[in-house]
Amino acid sequence: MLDAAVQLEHATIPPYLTALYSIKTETNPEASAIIRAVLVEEMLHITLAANVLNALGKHPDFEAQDFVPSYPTYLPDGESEFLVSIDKFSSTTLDTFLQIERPSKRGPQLDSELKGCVKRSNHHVFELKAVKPLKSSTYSFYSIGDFYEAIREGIEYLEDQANRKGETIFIGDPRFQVSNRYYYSGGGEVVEVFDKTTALNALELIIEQGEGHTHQIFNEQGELSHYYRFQQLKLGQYYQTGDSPGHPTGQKFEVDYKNVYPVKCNPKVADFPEDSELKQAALQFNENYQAFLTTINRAFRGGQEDLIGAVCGMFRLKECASQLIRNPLPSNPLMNGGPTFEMRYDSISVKAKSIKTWETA
Amino acid sequence: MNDSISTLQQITLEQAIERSNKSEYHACIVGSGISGAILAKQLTQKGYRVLILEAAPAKDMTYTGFKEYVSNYYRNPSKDNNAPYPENPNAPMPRSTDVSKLTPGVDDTKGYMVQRGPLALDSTYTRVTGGTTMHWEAKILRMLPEDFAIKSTYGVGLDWPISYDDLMPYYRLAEREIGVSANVEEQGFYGIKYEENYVYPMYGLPPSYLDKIVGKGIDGAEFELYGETHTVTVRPFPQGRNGIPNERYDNGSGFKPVGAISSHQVEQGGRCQGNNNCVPICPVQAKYDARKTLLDALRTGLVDFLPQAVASKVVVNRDDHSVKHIEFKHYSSTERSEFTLAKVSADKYILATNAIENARLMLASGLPSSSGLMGKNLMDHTYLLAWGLLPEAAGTMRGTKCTSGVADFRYGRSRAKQAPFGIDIHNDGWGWATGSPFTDIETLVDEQNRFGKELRKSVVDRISNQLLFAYMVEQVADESNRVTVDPEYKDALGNMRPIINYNLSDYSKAGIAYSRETSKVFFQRLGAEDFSSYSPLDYGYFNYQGENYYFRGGNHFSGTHVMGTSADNSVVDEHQRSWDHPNLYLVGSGSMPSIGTSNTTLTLAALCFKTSEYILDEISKQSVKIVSNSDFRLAKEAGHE
Repeated sequence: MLDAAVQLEHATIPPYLTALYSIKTETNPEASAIIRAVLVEEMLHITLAANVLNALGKHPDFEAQDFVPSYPTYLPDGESEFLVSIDKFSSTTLDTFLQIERPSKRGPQLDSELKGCVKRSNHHVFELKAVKPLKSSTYSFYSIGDFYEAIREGIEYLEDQANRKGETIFIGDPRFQVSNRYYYSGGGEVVEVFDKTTALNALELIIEQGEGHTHQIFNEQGELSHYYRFQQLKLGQYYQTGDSPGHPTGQKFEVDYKNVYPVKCNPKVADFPEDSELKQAALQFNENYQAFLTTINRAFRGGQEDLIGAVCGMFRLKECASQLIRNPLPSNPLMNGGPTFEMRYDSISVKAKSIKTWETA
Repeated sequence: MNDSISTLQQITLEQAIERSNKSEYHACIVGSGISGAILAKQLTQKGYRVLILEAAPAKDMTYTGFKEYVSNYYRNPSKDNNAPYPENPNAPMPRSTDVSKLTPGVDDTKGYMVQRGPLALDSTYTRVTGGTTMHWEAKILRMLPEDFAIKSTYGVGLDWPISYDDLMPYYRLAEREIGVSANVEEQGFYGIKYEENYVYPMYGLPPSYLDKIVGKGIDGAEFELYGETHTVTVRPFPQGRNGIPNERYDNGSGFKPVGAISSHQVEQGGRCQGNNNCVPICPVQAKYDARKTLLDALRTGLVDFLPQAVASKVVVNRDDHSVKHIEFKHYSSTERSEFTLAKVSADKYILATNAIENARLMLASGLPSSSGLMGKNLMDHTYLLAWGLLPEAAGTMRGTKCTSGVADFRYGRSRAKQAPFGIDIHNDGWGWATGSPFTDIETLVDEQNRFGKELRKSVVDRISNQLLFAYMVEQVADESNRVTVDPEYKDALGNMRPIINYNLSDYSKAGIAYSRETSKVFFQRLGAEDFSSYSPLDYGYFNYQGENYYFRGGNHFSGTHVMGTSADNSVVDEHQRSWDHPNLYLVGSGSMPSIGTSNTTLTLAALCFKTSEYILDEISKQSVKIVSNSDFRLAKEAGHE
């Protein structure tokens, strides 16, 4: 399930990244800062989930065939579900972001058979493993928060069982733990995971920063949860300490949805004409993104010093994405290109290269 | 804590005056640059209440205010040190773009600093919240032990009243405050020493590819100088920017890097990304600036911060010459010159406005000091630039401005005869010397008629091979280099502007000439084509022994209220306390009797830590009055966050 957590956290990155890069330079500083802040924390969540996974002796697989979902993709929101797209920054996109980060609201009558889950008729639409409990063909998690609750309970249960036999489930190589030597940001620190306590701490941080399950605007560290960060954009005003949900009293600002490049929603390489510069750029972006995921994969499998080099990869991605986002489609000059995040899994060379380095690491 | 706007307790003029009248302030600090911020942090964390008078508006403490600076920089066609910071006639600042060739005997009044010559000095500082650390490069070197005693050792300049050993524990505090990235094993040379098992807060930043290429070419080069052999090694510089925290720091407790101000909204300022425009502004705030320290002080709740308050006069009591109050002009808008004249008093007064402004304010107040040295002994590092084109692409423009250099001409016997120097390898190409890359594009378009893809390729080809050595040459104290004031020259608020007399001695020129010779050897060893040329039309031009040179200022103003052993030979004592005015402290690089070949910020920050310790001791001896109230508990809690 934790590998699914890594996949789930990553699934938010293409939409957030595209929205961020679609904002014209030097406009909407508040929106840029807030989307960027959430993105950085999603990367922290990936790191935390990977650390827990590594502590259990497993490794995340950023190169798995289905790791990057095909957009639009479904995410659960209580009884219903909603679509997440790769799209420009807009009022609609913002609503989706708010839905992604919505605090979990437990339904009164959750099916007792599978905790935190509801039976859905359209269970099959969910592409992300995280949404579906193992081996279930009809049940999906009620919310992302419920999914993490399930992981937490699973770890506690399994570790208690193991402890009774004088064993532990935390058998991973501690050298695989990504530390703040290679990852740190303005808010939230990497938790290195060695045992039950540290594992639960790591998961707690993900839940708290993301969905904010306590329904508090600020957590104990004085950080805003993602939902309320985004809500500030909706309301055009910053929260400050002491505010109640929905009623920020901080500095006011205006969000300017016009100063955004008109990125095509959920673009695909096939949308760009053969031999067009956009197509070249889209292929280039995807190739770079895949190479980037390969680097990250290596980093979380014992080669964490590669995270330093991955920074250059991120600048390269930004450059590629900007070329797509700032240029019009030849077929429709009122609409611009965008990164498609379509990965190719027929390329054996990429896979082989990564495995080789992993073995030597 | 929810940072930024809410913790910045800007008070009104009326509130400040009321609290001043009730004798609530233990200290009044003028200026919120690194010196003022350190003093404010140290005093408030012990429970004392301070008032900070800041000449500039304070919106830069918010994220949007900061972003405006970054936008200004992107938009401004000139990329000089002060390009991001708006013009403010009420608290003007010098800009290098104001400097031009002087006519002998004629004052140049174009810029804020009146240039009286004979040489024009293009050094600058920044009058905004956070001070000049907003635009500093953040290369952060300790001085060599021998730099503290150049008069007694080499017979030049002035000695310090204290030694390297005296300052060593404070260097450590300053390196913690700034969050320095460096490796001890690469920095302990020519007498620089550290406490046992000391490690810097963060690991050293990696050298650039260019550094490695230059190192390969010039490492091991030997120079005979006054009977000593100087062997060249390219070494990394300590940096005041976030790198990888060292887990061994503080006996294994590690170090937590400080990110951007108001980080709860932006999550920025973690690791340095190598955006190459550290000067004039780090777009992601990975570079230290004094607002980070200031914010720690503000969090105690004991700082009253009054922006748009320009100190205009230090008023002293007749009997004991102690400071009675500070007069200041409070303006409501940078657009208008109307102001309210007000005064505040406190137990201690700390002038932390920088070497030029401290002396300017004292002289404008009619307080030249009993030694007569106020404003004299103005020093700065003198830069000689040498630039060439490498035979291979060297990745120029990658990394921060400058990651490595040469320290092997900073020491030794030659200091009796010629100025020593450090050498910077610049990662930003010829920018400083020629205005590259903008001038490169002009040349390629206008003279070579390039356009489109070919132009793009030519720009890359041309810039990737650029190499610039910046030689930072020591200048020693000389009373004829000085700051003065004259009622004839005033700013919009009617405050007297600084007048600069500046010249280079033969000692300086000999060092510059020798540094140029080493550049020729380096270029030769690297197979680089030497493009350096020094036009007689340049404002920094001078001729020495038949050769042409020009120099650039280093923005390291110092020496204007020099420290010493008595009221006869100095303005302040080793605690930066005025000899003449017992409750007045003049802090910052103005107190430094020599500057060696180190950028001045680390040493002045260390001095401020030393001074804060002394002031805390003084206050605790005098007053127990407010220390026991609830404010103190608050501050203590804040200190334990």
